[in-house]
Amino acid sequence: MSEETILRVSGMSVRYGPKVAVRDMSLHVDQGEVVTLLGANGAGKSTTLMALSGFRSVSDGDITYRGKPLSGVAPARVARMGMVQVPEGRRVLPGMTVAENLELGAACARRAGRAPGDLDWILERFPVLVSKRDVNAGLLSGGEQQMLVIGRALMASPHLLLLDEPSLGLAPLMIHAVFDVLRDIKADGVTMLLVEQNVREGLGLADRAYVLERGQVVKEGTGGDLLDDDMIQAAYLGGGAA
Amino acid sequence: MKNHDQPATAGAPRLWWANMQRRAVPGNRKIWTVALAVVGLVLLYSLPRLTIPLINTPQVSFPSVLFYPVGVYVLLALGLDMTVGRTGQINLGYAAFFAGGAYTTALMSTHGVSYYATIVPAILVSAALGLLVGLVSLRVNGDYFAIVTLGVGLVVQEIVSNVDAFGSTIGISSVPPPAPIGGLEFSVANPQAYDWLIFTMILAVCVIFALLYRSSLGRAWAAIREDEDAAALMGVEVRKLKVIASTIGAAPAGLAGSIYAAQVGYISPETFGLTLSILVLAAVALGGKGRIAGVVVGGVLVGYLPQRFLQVDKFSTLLFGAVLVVVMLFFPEGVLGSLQRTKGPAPTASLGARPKVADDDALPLTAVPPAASAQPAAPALEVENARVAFGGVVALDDVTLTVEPGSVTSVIGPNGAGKTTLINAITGVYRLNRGRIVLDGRDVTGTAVSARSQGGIGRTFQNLRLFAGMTVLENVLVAAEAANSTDRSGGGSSPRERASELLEEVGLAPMADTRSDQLPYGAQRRLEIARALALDPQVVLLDEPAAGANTAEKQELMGLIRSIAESGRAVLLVEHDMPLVMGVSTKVVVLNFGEVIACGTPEQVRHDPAVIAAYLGTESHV
Amino acid sequence: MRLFTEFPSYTLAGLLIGAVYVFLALGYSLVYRVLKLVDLSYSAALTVSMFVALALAGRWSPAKLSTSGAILFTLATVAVSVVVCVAVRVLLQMAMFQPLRRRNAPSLVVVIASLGVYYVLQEAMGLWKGQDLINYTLPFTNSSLFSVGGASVNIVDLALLVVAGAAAATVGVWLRRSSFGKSVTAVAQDPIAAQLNGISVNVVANTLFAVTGVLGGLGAVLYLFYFTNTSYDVGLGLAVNGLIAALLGGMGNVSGAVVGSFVFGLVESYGGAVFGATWQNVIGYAALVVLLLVAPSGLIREQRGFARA
Repeated sequence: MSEETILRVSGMSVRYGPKVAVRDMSLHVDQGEVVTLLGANGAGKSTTLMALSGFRSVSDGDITYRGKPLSGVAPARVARMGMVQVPEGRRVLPGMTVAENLELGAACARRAGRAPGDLDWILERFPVLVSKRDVNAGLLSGGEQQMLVIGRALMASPHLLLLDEPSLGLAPLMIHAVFDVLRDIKADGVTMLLVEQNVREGLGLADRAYVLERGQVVKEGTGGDLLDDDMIQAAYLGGGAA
Repeated sequence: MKNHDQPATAGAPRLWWANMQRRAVPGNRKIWTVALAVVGLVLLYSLPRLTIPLINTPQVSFPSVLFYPVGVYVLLALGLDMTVGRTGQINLGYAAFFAGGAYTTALMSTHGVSYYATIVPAILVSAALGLLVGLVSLRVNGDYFAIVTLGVGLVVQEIVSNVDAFGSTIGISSVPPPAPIGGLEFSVANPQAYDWLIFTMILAVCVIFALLYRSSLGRAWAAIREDEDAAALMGVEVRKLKVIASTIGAAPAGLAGSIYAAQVGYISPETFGLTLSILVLAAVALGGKGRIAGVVVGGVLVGYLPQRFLQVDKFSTLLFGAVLVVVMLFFPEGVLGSLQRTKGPAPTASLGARPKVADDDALPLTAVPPAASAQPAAPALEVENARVAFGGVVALDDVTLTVEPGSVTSVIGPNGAGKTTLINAITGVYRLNRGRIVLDGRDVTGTAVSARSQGGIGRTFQNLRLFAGMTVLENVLVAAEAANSTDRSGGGSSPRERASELLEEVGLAPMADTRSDQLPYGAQRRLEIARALALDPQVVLLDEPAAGANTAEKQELMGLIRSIAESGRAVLLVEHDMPLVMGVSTKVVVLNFGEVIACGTPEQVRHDPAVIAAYLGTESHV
Repeated sequence: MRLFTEFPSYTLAGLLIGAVYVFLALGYSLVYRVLKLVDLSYSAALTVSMFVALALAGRWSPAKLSTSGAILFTLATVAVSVVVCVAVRVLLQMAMFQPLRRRNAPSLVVVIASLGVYYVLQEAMGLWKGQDLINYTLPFTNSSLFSVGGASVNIVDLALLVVAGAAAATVGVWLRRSSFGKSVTAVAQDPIAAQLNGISVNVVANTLFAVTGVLGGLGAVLYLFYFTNTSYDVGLGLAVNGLIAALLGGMGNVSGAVVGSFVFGLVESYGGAVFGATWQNVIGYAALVVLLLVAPSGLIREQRGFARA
């Protein structure tokens, strides 16, 4: 695994008016890694991704992406630069077909002068999309839509893939399927920063993880270590009750 | 401006006023209020006699514009605010109501009727037009209200211009002034009389409207403005209330029209055109819609500013346009709105639909009693052979299930299985193509949404739908008041009492006056449940209440669900979280592709091979 | 009744006025569809273009030109009108609508702001050339080309119909086929998803306003050619009728805007024939109210609602 750091966040704070949603956060993602951000609802995980993608301004600290500072860059530009987010709630373009949605991702890469993702390779990873190529994306089930947006993001040939709660709203069987796909693409070398509430899956996939609470990083370590950690066990895995 | 944390509720008193009251010695608060009111009134009524530098110019003295356009525009803006600011509908033809009042008075008093006897007819005519517009708008998709009103405004103006009875393009002249009151004469020589009369009218309307907005009707309107569909599901009779808003909102225009006709003595159709409608709309926007004081300020600005700029006559409209642009760019909440701005809601933290706040409260965990045992009782809710199809897609196919009082029935199934469709069908949002919904023995298939909510069905939403701009208490109060109007609610406690009790039950009482969108996520979920319970429902539908909740919150939720069932209600729970479902349910129904594939106790369902295959996957998570 | 004996004339007149409305309705519908806002300033941009064209005609006395000169002059007028309209529209987008969008301003605020701009532009034109009706001399003779059932079709008539149809068709194809058109559609469906795919909403908005500028510039010139006069406040009537036409077809629906425009034009024309010119306007508006009662989402499939305060 190469040591190049794709993303480095130092001392970042994000505010909503007087409320501090993220406080003094530092993290980094290296090439080829999967890093997971864990935390309860309201802990600041999604705010972090929003700030990284350029949808919220940072009140303190900096974000460096592939060596370049990323403050004040518009979201569309961040995506073109290769940090592509798969947002919470999936956000397929409902009036467009599966093929058109994927093409949108490819267009993003081309706009930035990158070669788009290999469509065949992606369809191999998401066989469920092959038969539905010309179906309107709005008619797909939740799991299929999740596959589609991951595929769409991959078509943009991202250097770093951000994923915001891919398990949300999906049935257990579907969650499994989605994370299987993520394991495949990890094996293919895609670098990912994953935000998740589903601890088992989130930590199972991760090389490293950070735990967020009330907008601050309270713990960090490898996926395996954290899975065994007592505090995490109690709070999130609930020892069987939830 | 001092920092303060009083929320802006639907009918909040002027906040600077609240500040002043706090600064004053507590015991003297009432005296302060009365004193300031008296001073204010004295100032107001002496305005026609005052010469105020800067506001008076060589070309126009402030007193001469006090009646028209300033006073008239204030009245009109107050009326328009009821639909635009309070129920969220944009009206582009308000001039039609103004014309109604003006022509009524003009026609009647030129035929010998005393002015004072024409006031009520004028108001009634305008209100009737408002009623008509309101009824018409019901037929139309709510958002097209604006254009319907545009058409109505134009049609009325054209009719009045073309029909001889209304004086055609010439209009009606020689409208006599009102008879003197006491020693006060209404004449050109004595313009203050008109000013005082219109001030009195304005004050009367302000007081009446303020009382209305603070009443249960006002709260219901606010709920409609916040989220019309959620309001209907909380028992608010949306259609009826919108028509009422349109009707009452037209009344001030009738009043303004009548006094305007009497004062100016001569009315013609040109006055009542699109430009006037737009100016009144601008007044509401400029001052800050939804606030009485703001609307008054807006009316004053729109009435006065073009006159002020009259000295640069040719530029007056252009400058007015420029002012509109500048104000909208920099003070989108209106001039007064910006001054009174409180902490706004935390914007959605993620790109998804969930509301989010930074703080995470440590909530007390309720004790967890054992799962409720099945009780043989007549079902509170029966769904029989329900079928819902959209175009070619069958979302529910021959679904039958029952929910008994005192028990929890869970509906589980993969994504797209039809769970939310089922809830929507039960609440009446979707119509059944086949089958029946029976509530407490009554067939409610085909009845309206608000009828069902008032009839005993309460629900929460997958993606929280609180009335964001209203306080915690108000959210629950709206539902409680809606239930009250049907005499369904048991016992003699008032809606307010019931609302407070419910907040106690879900642990939200200390936050009663907080804006609901400033609550932590878990608290918002509980608020939605409290709101649903305010309808005193026999059947409670919970749509994925655990979505996004952490372990502590889920424990809470389980306790809450059990206690709701134990109080005798029938709970229908739609959820993905297996441990939660298994831990709290009396009965589990499994949907897949719109059909019921299993129904039984949690144990039975857990081991049903069809269910496992379709949904849980080969390894059981439970 | 006149309507029957002169049916072709009234039909032609209705189609022609409808063609004028196409340029307006398309503009309103496009902007609404993509940016979810009602822009009341659009017709004022047309007024500005018209006045610039008037100035051009004033400078160069087109009545005395040779045939080739006339053609050149006409083309120049169109070009200038389009350029001016595009400039006004794009400037407006960048200076006002973009900031408002950044602040998530509610519908009412945007409507009022666009209204303010309308007045500024209209009054500026009034100050420039006065408030009276101004005549426009065509640079060519508007001779009759052919007759349809007794109704004579002139050069301008034909041009109006052809250009309106071509413009609408081009916009439709552009939206559906071109890659930029797809970006526009993406923004219309979900601006956040679009940005996540590298599409800049501001670039799309600027392009969109530029397109409405082209439509407006064309519409302005054709209006002048057809009516041979205009005045500074002509934008108000155009706005009302254009909005009604857009609504008839379903606000935000491009093909609907075209259909709605022609339908509204015909209704106005026939209504005027039956009830007389004074009632012409009422017929149009009343027809709209009746239609909305019967078919609440317009004549064509509905788009999502708008105009919530």
